[in-house]
Amino acid sequence: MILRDVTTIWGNDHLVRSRPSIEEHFDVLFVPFTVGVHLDHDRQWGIFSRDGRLIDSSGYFRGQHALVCGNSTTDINFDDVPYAPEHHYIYGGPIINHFGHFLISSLSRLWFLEFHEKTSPILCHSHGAIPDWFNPSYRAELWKGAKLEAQDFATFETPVRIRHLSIPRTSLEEQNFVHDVYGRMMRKIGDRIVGQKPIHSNTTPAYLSKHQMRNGVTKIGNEEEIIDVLRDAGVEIFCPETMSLPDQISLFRERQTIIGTSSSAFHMSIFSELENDIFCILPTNLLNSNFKLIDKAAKNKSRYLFPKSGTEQHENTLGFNLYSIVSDPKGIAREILSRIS
Amino acid sequence: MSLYDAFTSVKSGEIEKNVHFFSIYERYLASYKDRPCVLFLIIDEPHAQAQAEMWARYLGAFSKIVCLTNGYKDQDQIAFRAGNLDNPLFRKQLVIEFGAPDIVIDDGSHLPEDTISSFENLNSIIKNNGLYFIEDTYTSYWRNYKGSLGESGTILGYAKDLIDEMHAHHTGQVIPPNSFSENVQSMHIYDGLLVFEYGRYLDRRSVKNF
Repeated sequence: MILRDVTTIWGNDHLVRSRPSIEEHFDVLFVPFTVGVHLDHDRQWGIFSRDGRLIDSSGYFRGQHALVCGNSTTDINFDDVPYAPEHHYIYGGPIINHFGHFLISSLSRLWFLEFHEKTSPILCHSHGAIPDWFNPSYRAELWKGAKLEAQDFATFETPVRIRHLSIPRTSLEEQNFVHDVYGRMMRKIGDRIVGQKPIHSNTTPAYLSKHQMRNGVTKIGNEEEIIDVLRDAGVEIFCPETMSLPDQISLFRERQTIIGTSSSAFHMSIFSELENDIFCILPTNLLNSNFKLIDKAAKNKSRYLFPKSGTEQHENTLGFNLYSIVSDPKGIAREILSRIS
Repeated sequence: MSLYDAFTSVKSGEIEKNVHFFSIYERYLASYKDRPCVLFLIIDEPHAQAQAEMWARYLGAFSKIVCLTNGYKDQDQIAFRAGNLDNPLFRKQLVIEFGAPDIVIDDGSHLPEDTISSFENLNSIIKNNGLYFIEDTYTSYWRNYKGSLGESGTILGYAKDLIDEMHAHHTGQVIPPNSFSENVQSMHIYDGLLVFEYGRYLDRRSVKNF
């Protein structure tokens, strides 16, 4: 036995059955992203109440409700700020560049669209003009799946006062919790993206490979040795970064068993009605709980496995934040096959 | 007229209720008798007329019973409206036509997905001090209703999770404030019957007398 089940989970993974709440706030301050500053370092932006404090339900949190950007207060004087043109807006949260974070955080307030009429502009934090938000194209496809177009959004380049702001609380907070409704929303978005394309159930396991990727967060450098064994055993190899969004979603709808190394490509299971069997290889005994949150919302049966045979790790190497070389990659592949069978 | 008297007086169709439900309903609904109130009744079509009559007789002449099912012609106190509660427009139409319900009673399919979905959808329109009843929750243990002991997908499995979610403010944000914690003050779990009392806690502080 080379592989062990991961026991160290980084973050919480609570499933909340009831819906998030919607809060109504009056006379609040919208402060945009700071131009030229990366979100992680921008302490200025947010939705603030008259006392200068960030409105909790509007915040971008991670882990045990810790503010990602430390933007807990503002010094801006309300009286110096003009009112926004519309009386009422609905807060949509920050639009985050990273694909995985866009899925789990930037879409997470849109659950309200399934239950309430879209009567007012959706106010978001983002850089650039609204039409530019729709590039990269996956955003356009996902928002279209949520029945949103550019004209539904609003933002401001300078601070404004909002007379009435409805704030749907987030349905997924990174490394903390997910509401059932997040999964339901994402499956409906997936339905609309895939459209009438027929589902062909396929019992052949699929492997999501990173072997062609040249940069990213994590990579197992000798992954190709794992792939060779799996391919010889009949597993089909896919490179998600080369696939269209509908094809990635369809893959999870058609294949019961999905194998791979840790990647936000696994988050695509959230768009699938099929409760997937996932075998995910990790370089170490540490799992970001975002994967567990997705599993709970998608009702996946996932196994996260790491090789006890050892891993050589290199930070910020060859285009990846964490680049690992696992011992006995062929043995790892054979054990995965054994577990599947 | 007691609820049991109303039950026995209906001759238009069969009604089946557990005996102990009558006294539980009396405990919660007595204050609504002979006052204007709106009751939404989730029920299958064959049983709608008789149950609606029972509730109309019990609650009195000022009540309005809205059966969320196909059915018969509207009568003085009784209306029938069929639609998908998932559809916000249908819910909005119900509220425009009848007002927000004071009381919801779910004696519908008893299938967990239907029961949970109705509860979540009507959560957003029930009055702030309203009451929501779910009948026959022992079906959570019956296989032909997708139930079994310990099954989390049933209405009782759901209710067990709601106990934690009602206490969201005390969980250190592991459970966020949610539509249940913000709109429901209490839940009562009886053998076969769930009762939710709606209302908002405006202040949850712990205070001392000096």
